[in-house]
Amino acid sequence: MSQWERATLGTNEAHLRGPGTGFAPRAFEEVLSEHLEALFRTALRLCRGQEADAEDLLQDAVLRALAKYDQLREASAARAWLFTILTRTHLNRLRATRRRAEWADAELTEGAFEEALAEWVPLRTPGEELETRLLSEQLTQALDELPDELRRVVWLVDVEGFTQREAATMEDVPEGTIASRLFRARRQLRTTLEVPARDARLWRRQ
Amino acid sequence: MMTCGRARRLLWPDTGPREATTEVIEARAHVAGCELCRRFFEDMRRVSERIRATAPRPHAPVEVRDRLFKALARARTGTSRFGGAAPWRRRVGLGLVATALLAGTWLGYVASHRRVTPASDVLSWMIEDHVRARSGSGLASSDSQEVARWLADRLPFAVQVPIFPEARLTGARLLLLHHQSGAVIEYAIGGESLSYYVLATSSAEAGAPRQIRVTSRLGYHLATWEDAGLTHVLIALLPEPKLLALARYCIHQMMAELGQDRRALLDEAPHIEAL
Repeated sequence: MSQWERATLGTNEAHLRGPGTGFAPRAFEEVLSEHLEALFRTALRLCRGQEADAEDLLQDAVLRALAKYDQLREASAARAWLFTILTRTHLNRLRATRRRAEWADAELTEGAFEEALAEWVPLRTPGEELETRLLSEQLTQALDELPDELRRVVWLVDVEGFTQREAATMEDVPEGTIASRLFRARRQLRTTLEVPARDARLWRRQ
Repeated sequence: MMTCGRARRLLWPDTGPREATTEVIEARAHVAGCELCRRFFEDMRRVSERIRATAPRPHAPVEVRDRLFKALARARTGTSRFGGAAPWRRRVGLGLVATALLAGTWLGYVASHRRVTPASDVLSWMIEDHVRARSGSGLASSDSQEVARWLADRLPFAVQVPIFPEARLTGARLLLLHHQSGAVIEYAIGGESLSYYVLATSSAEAGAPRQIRVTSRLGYHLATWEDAGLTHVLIALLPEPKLLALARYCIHQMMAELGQDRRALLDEAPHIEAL
């Protein structure tokens, strides 16, 4: 169990709030304000850019967080704790509309994962930096076309900078599953990342 | 035999030190001598960096922030009928009902609290002072729910306790002015104190609803507005634009609470008067 997990779940007495523990209790709104931008953009991506849905998801998650705020033991764990609640709220919403079997079928077995890793074809521009003029909109569209599980993982790890272990805790799945989902997400996104580079080279030749 | 797939599985994602098992050592040796595997790890790093660099990062609109903090305020004061998971849109109907109830409460209050003596009467002032002293020093609390309950037990009208993202709630006290009781809610903001006064509006004082007037007296800045039979005043040493922004934020929260169309407010230019 990681430090922030202990801090969040409160299983380590040393992290209990109180004098001398180093966690000066702050208003929930103050903590939320610090992370609101990241939570909003994550909710927006989880909801494929649908702002009304993202707003509902965010509000739902924030109210749950408020109700559980006394469980947060360390101020430094607040970011991961808030993202965990947001992620699990999103998962719960999806589970309400999808059958569990659909999830299991989507995961790679360990052997299939190794095969997929071995089949990676190197990027077409190995010696060059990818073109920087890649439009954000193209990546946004590609992200939104990813299955929910892949989109959440690539967003949490590559964009928000959480570790695999943290993402695994948020998603409540093994780290290997996160590794597999992250690879599959990047494999799907590479097409989007390569096309602008190719277009840019063609444009320069003209 | 160590294959490319197995080596990549053992070493990727490369997120730091890992236990150097025999298999991991073999995998590292494999990657050191395999150009494709080295390219694979380099590609993963570049793809990840590119995603991070180009991912959209929209800002949360101010309306979203308003609704969110208002929902939190409702949750704290326990006024939500639908529970924490209800989307804000479903609360618009409740807001309309609340508006009607608030208006009814105010009309009842005005009907039963008509003045019988002039406010300038010295004896009246003494009585007010006596009652003011008897009401105690108020409540010291950063819990908006507790403050809202405390005020609800002592006032004949409903007072919403606004939550300002940059300010910390410190408590509340009662106000008695011209035979009318009111509330003073105290905040700390950036090392300064901010007071939010709410009291019933006399008909002579009533202006256009929610028109904010910013004034200065004795070095203090005041933002004043009337709404639904109540006068609202923010007092602080803060710069006028800041105080105006806080007043608008306060009104947004109240309108969100009542389910009113806040776009109408956003379209209104704030009316600033210098006295």
